[in-house]
Amino acid sequence: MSPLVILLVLLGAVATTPAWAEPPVRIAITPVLVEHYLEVNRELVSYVGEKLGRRTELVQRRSYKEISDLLERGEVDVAFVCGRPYVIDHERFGLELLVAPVVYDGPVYYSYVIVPSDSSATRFEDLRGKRYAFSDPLSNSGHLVPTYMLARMGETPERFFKRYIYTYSHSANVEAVAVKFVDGASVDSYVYDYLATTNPDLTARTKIIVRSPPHGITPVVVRRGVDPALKTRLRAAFLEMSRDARGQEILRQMMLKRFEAVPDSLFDSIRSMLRAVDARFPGAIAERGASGR
Amino acid sequence: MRRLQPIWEWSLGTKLAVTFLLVVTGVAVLVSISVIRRGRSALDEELRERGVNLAQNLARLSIDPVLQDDLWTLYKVVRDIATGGSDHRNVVAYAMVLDPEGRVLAHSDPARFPMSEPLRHDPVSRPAGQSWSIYSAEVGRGEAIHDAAAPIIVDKQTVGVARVGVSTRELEATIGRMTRDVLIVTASLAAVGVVLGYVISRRMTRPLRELGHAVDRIAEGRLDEPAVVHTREKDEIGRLADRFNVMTQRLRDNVREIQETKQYLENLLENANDFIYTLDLGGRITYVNRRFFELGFEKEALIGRPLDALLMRPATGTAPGSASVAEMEVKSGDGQHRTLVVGESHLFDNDGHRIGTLGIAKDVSERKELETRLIQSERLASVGELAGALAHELRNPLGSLVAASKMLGANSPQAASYDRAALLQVIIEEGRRLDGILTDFLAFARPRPPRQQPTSVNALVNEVIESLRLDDVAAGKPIQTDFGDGLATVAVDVDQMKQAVWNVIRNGLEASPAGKVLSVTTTAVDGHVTIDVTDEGAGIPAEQRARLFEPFHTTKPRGTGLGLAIAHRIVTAHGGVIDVSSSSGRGTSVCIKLPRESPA
Repeated sequence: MSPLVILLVLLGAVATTPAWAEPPVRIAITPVLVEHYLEVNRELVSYVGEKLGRRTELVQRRSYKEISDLLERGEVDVAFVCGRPYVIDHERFGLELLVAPVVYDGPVYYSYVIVPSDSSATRFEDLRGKRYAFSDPLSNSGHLVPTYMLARMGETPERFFKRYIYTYSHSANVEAVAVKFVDGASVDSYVYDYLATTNPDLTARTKIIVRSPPHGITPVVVRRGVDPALKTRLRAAFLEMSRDARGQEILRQMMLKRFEAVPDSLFDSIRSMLRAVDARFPGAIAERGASGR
Repeated sequence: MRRLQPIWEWSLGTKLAVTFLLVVTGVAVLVSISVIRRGRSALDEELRERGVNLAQNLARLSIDPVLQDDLWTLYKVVRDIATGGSDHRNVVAYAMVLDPEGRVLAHSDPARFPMSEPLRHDPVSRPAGQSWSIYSAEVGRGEAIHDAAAPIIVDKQTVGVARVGVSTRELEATIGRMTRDVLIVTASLAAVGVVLGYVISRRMTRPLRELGHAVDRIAEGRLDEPAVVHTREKDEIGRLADRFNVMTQRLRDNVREIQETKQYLENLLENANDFIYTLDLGGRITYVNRRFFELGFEKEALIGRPLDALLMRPATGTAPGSASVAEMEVKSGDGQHRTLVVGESHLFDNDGHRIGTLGIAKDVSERKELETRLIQSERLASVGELAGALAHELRNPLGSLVAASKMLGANSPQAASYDRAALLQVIIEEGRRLDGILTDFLAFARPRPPRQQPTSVNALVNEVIESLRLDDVAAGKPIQTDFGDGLATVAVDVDQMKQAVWNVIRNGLEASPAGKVLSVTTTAVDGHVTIDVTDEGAGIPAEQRARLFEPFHTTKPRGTGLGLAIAHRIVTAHGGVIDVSSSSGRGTSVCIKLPRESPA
């Protein structure tokens, strides 16, 4: 089915049929962000649906790769993805930015290197020969940033670490460090700070030894070919969240200040890290990104 | 703390309670040990099975994460196995997945057993097998680990080993709870047993306690109070109580009978006319009957006191059954002197041991007085009789004297024919006869005390015989003497003794028929000197023999009847004895027996 046909169908549906008769707007969220987030995700998707006046459907997948595939195949319309999959999929199949959440001062976040709270490591270099956890192979903060840091040290994860694993979840990374399944891990600062509030016992068993420079935060994207009107209404829905009570409550629960529209250039830092790693170890990143591992 | 009583001093209740306690506790403990042992065995078997199941589960769940090298997922699987189910939270000590080289892929305790390190401190290290296996190891105090291992097999190739260690800690805790429960049940049973034992024993022994109280009452002599034991039970104790009731009734009857008998005997003793007493071996009074109190004695003054203090007691023998009788004076409580005839005998117990003395005394004071009065009146009667006899004796000669005197003084014609000389002779003879009678009477009635001097009996007797040979009465009657040689002298009043001997020999001569020999012998026998005078006359009839020595008793036509009476008085005054033996037709023998030395 071509996008044009879908658009026509969608437009016809919006104009002539009640909301329940239209195909739902499918919104994909990966638990890479925060595990056990299901309830607020549902609420968010429901809220958006209310704003749109349309049925919405929550789609959850474990990895960015899976969501990336869904977006590429047009099986979801909206998705929360990491800045790095956005950068890559924007190039590959025209993924479009919708909005980005504001957690800190702007639509940025950081990559933390955390170690167990009683660890003797104080610098990333101290983790040489240790067990390390990345979150998702396509994650910026959970994989690209540390890989970039290693590349600058002239190292690859295979060489630098004794053993590294992917947990496909930032919160799992915090937990893996807390239980000392690994000696260190990279985590999304938003996830870590969120956990520090909601599950301080867990984060108390870890400590941050490295905080990366700011990078563009995980954006909300729409697949290429989404009806511009829907896109506009979607964006409006997100942007207006901070202006009504239900939206504020959702934001509060997600510990977001608001959503705001962001330029594509917000993710240039990611693009430059990708280039740097690729220049140092050609093919390593692209290959992983393609394989999902 | 009170000293523990020996078992044999325990009450029945305690014994029963303790027996219940021991039996219940013993059975409970044996059952408990068996139950706990079987329980432990079953639980341990179940634990092992659970370990194997968990290991096999883990192996199954580990296939995908191992194949995908998704160690975090593998860790979560391992962790879920180790901590997941609430039913085995405390059971699973650890869970782990190792690679075929024995390196840790995921361990439920990642801090101690880091990923990709060879397993360190493995309590139950073993090679990876092709099927499940289980090993056990002690890891601490009372805790063992059953380590179940299951291979993770993909396409017949072992890609890892899942191992689950199940701890016996929970099992031990369960056993501990079970033991505690069993102990509680046991203790409860024991308590119930004790209470039950106590209650049953109380119930069972209630008649026994009543029996005890009844026996106590009987032992205290309270036989009058009802000693009937009430019980509806017809068991051994019930029957015992019934028999006890019968026995009590019989005992009461017997005691009443004994008391009646005792009362009867006491009445006999108390109301006896005699004085009855008992003494202990020390001579102290243990019992006196009422007669003593009639003498003015107080009971308290007698019981426990020696009888000797009251009276001169007769000597008693020691041979069993010996008895003695004595007469003795006693000064009664009111100060009067009483004469008692006392008979004593020994008291013996049933074994023949002497336990004291039984005395029975009779008050003979009044009889004694009666006797004295009787003697006096007899004496008065004798005097009267004597006076009568004397008057009678005097009347005949006096009559002759008066008649002769009248005839001499008569002026009648017949008077001239009287022989005046003959009449005078009659007067003289009768006068002499009166004088003789009076002389004899005086000698009898008013004897003077003997003036004793040592005298040869033979010489004295000889002088009497010689003087009598001149008397008419001796005519034709030979006197044969046989004087003992060397006779000791006797202390006698010579004149009086001559009179006595003269009277006896003259009597003998008078009794002797003409031509018959009168024999006189003297002998010395046992400190005495005897003078025997034996005639061959007609003898004295038995009925007269008793009156021989009475004054004025005579069988002779012209005797005064005073001869033998005087002889008797003289001999008796000398402390001697005069005795007559005679048999009718064979003559008479009179024996004078004098002490060789005069009485003091």
